[in-house]
Amino acid sequence: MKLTVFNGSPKGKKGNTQTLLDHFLSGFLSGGNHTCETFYLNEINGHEVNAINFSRAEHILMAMPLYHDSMPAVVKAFIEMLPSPSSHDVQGDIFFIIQSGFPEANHSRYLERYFKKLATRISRRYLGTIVKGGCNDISHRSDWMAKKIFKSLYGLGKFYGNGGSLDQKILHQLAQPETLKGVTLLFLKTGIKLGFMRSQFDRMLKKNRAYERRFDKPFLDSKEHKVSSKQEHS
Amino acid sequence: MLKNSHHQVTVFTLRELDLKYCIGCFGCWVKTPGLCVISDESSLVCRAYINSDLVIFASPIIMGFTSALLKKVHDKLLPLLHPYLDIVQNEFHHAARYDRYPSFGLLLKKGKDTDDEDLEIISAIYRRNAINLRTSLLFVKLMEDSPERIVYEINSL
Ligand SMILES: Cc1cc2nc3c(=O)[nH]c(=O)nc-3n(C[C@H](O)[C@H](O)[C@H](O)COP(=O)(O)O)c2cc1C
Repeated sequence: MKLTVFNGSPKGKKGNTQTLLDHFLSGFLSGGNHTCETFYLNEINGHEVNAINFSRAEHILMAMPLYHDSMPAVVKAFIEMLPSPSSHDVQGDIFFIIQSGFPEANHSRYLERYFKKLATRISRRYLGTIVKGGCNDISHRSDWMAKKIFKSLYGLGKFYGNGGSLDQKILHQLAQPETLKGVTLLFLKTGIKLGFMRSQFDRMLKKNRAYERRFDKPFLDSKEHKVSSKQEHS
Repeated sequence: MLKNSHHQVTVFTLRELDLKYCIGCFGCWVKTPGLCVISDESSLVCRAYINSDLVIFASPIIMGFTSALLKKVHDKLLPLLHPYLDIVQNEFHHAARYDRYPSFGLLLKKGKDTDDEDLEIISAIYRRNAINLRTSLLFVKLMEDSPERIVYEINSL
């Protein structure tokens, strides 16, 4: 089987999306006589050619980061270039990877719903969406640190290679946590109030000598204006 | 019409602005806090945005979603948030950088292939966007609705 991959990360080969793809694809390529080809959507000039590659492909995987609860703008620009299929015959199949910064899968479910509809729109069989949160620094994590995630992706790739579908059990496990609940939620709420979970950003801010300016509000108009505009509204 | 009802209105025709894509570098959080490191006219939008009470996103529906052009600007609103985390409605979100954020309104123009499910999908995503940008989505209107009606409803918000 030949799989055609579209990586929609604005960071292209250097992003977290690529890391997840690498593990999925190594599982996929491990069995049988499979091949794959990856196209990058971060080069806007390439959209036209990529759209042609897209319509010719039988099996498609589109992968991207979540940007403001939906697809990055470059990916939307690409989708707008896709020709509507000439007939309603199914053109092949398609599945997606959405990875995000926040840890809960729920953030990505709304875009997942859009993609399910998109598949119908372009007359492709929808195989599902792999959702993984908490991926902010995954391209820097060691194999050991991200062992479980990488193993799941490898498993999903292998399963797909064997049967052309997504293993629902792995899909479900990988997506956890779906939402924050119970003790975890309570623990996180307290932790955030106490100022935990800031260290990663603080380190970068300090490295860039920007720590003192971290609360800057550069776009605020003068106070008088703000007060008057508020009164005007009420 | 909105101007005539004593509102101060700023309109951006996004097509005419010099806008670069967000490349996800997080420079607006860790290098130049609150400012995009790539200089383009999205800073004009950010300034007007944060000093408004209501922001209306207007777009045609293309392939079941608002335009890539609008999304390009939306992605560039990231500097208005703070990198620190917060829990909003029992979910992770980012902390506010500013004390107040404008409400959202959505004005959509249907495409030939738009159906009710598309409208639902778009509205759901914009409701999520509103949580992310520390506010709420007040209305979703179609260009097919009469402008008088839309203005009337905005005036009664
Ligand atoms: C403009 C912008 C918007 C983002 N919006 C979200 C979001 O709404 N929810 C979320 O969980 N993560 C969000 N993220 C985080 C990315 O999804 C996350 O860092 C991802 O791993 C980046 O993938 P990449 O390295 O492949 O580009 C956003 C990042 C950027 C730059």
